[in-house]
Amino acid sequence: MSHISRQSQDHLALAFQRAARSTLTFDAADDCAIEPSVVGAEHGLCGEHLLVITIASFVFRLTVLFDILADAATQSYYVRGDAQRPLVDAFADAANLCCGALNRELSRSFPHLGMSIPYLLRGQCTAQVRALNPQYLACFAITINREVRVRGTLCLSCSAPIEVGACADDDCESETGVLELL
Amino acid sequence: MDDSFLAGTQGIAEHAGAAAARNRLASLARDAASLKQLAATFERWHQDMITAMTHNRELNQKGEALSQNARELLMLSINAAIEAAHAGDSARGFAVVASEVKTLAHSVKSLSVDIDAILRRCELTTTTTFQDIQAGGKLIMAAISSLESSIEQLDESMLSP
Repeated sequence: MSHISRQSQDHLALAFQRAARSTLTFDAADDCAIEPSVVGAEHGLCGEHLLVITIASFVFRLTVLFDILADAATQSYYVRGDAQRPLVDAFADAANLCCGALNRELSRSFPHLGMSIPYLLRGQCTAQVRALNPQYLACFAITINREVRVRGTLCLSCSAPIEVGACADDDCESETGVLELL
Repeated sequence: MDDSFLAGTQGIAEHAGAAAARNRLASLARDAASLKQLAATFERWHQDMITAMTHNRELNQKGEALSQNARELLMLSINAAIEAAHAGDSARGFAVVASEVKTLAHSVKSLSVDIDAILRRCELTTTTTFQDIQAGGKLIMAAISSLESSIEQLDESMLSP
């Protein structure tokens, strides 16, 4: 039996998409398209780098995995003219902000939450995400200004039923994407 | 029994009740302070996980070296088979050996692919466990601090007239 209802899955997916839109881009004018994607490195984007951050409560663990390509467009967008700065370092700041925003949104439903620091893994590790025994797994292809591609994967494991509330603002977007329920 | 005696015994009972409540609060405060020592436990787990992840990295490096060796062994066996074919009947025995080496090379390559997948799985699960401990430690320490703060506020409100 799944510990997370379909509605809670939608709320979680929407909270992630909103966090990604507001933190993975630098300028409000940047175009940010988020589409549901297939989970696993064998399909679509398999980045060279995989940044992992975990948000934990007493009853669930949410691991967010960001795949990024080390191509010129991604490098130029996130490093922002500082050629000395490694891409993963620059992107880790954005990923940290994204999970911080998601953490804040989730703290409305769960008063006790903790967040890890980002950790870098080999890109191919995404293919092994099912080894974490998720009860909810969803993947989103994020494209910024039609050239920077990031893939965000949400992997949730719960030990008890959880309810994720609707997002804070009334003007929540209705898009929730196609989600994969395991 | 006159009224002043009743009022006196009621006052003693209230005083005793307040003293018992304060004792219970003091006991709670000691428990909360004791729970704060969990920070040292989390730190120990943190260090253990860092050690496990360092071992993972070493295993990954060995796994990559094994994959490289498997690729080179396969190339070598193919070249040996070509050389044996060029040499004709005189190298028939060598061709058999080259073919066996090729079979072995395929087997090693397949094994190295499996090992690599297991290593990645291990890398991911170790990392998420490490992060779970890190995040869980933060939330537990925050909950204990919040409990301590509530105890302090309760204590102050009991002491105020």
